[in-house]
Amino acid sequence: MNGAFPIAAPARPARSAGARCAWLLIRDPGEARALEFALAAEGWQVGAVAHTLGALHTLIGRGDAAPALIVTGVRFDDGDALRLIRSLARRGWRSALYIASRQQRAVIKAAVALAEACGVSVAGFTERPADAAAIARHLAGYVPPPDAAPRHRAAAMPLGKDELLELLDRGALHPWMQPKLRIASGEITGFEALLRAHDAEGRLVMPDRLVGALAAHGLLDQATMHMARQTVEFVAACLAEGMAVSASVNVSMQSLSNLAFCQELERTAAHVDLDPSWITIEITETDAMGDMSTVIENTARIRMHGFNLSIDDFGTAYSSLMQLSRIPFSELKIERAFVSGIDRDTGKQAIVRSCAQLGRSLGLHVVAEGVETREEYEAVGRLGCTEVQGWLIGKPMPVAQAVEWLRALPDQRFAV
Amino acid sequence: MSEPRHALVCDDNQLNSRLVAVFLKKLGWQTRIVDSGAAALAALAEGRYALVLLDMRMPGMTGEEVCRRIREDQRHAALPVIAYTAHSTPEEKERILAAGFSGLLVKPTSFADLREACEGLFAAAP
Repeated sequence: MNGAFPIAAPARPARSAGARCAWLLIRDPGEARALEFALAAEGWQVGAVAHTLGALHTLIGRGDAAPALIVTGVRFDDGDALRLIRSLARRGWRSALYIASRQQRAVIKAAVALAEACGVSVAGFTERPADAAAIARHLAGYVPPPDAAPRHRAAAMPLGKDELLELLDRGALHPWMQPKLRIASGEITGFEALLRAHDAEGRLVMPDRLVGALAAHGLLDQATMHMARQTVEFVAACLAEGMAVSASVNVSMQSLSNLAFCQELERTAAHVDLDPSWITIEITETDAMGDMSTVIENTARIRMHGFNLSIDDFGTAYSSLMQLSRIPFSELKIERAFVSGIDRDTGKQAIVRSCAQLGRSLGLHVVAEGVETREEYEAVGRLGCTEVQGWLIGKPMPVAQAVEWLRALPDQRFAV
Repeated sequence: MSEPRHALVCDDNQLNSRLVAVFLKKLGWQTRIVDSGAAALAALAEGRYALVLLDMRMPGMTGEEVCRRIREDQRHAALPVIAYTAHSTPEEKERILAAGFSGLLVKPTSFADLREACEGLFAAAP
């Protein structure tokens, strides 16, 4: 194929693709050459250069080992990067993509989104493909993931009914507390209780193996109540020490529909003389957008009992504003996908700004979830979020550790 | 050190009222806690409080009713009375302020919330 040529004198043949091996798929030969030299200067071994999609497909087809990285444009004379992404995914190639194209950002972002949806890793992108040195600098520190196709890993095996019953009997389900910070005052004002379990060998079991299985075996109410009880005790203990923190518990609409569940929740708080307004019930947006009369009835009841109510993963389903205004929420939590990398993404900024405005005009606390960097923290604050949660503030931790963590903060303030 | 001023906290929930008392102490206030509207009115009859915090949701007399009775007494027409409420919608805030309260704190309340409310009511911190 005349559009593709292996490097004239590669240090090693392309077949032995190493961790720093890159291929280029760039239409303009001049740009491709500049990029090749710039990458080589940063320690990359450029194994192949192609100018057309067909040429790259030929290289793929001849059985070469996948390079760690493919730097690609978006449009070629015979196709586009979208087709490349599809074929990489189809072949299970583990190369990460770096997209360098003059195409409008919306197109580049769509390509990134397609890659993510197909399980193809993306190392980055730029709208200035001619700036070879900048691209090479950007990629200088890029470390390919150890297993570059991990996104489609097999789903974790959910636990069976006997195992779940054993966990419940042993009292081995625990809330791990992730702190939430109020931006205006720098105070830690609450925690979200996240489900964890320890199996008989003491290994940590994550929610992806628990929640669906508990629901499938009709054990979710029982497990949620167990979580709620421990969370209520945690909050009451903090308040008694003069530390004002609330906590939230994730509850399914199915549990909320159960009248006995709601009454038990109220008794749990009353048992330790806790004003229920220190406890927030989080329901997912998907749950909130179910049958409207059921949702209104159940959420209104929970508020009637004095609990606060939060809409979790906001932005992932399709709530109508009318529905949203009918449910008595006190808090709106913006899905982490809109927060991750927000400082560099004007689209995400627009979404979070309008969510925050909407929430605040309804008198709600607006929490940005998944805040992991200082830049993200500053961005969501500027856009009107009132609280943040995420690894920047703290990872989920066992109850005893959360109490210690809180005690160590001066005036309950966390310096970001 | 100036003489501590006296605040009256009325909440039927002891965890709440004790927490508020801890916060008020940090702000230089001495707090008396009562657990009903009737007890609050009785305490106020002694007339030595510079600040009242009222829970809106109590058995017996509601916070709004207690506030109305407080305002009926001419001596307490200008007494700062803060509502302590779980409701945060803009309409509810308006309704509470229209009922004669000087300010409101939305539960769950933090120390900064209380300090801000106090600073808003007392130009110079106590």
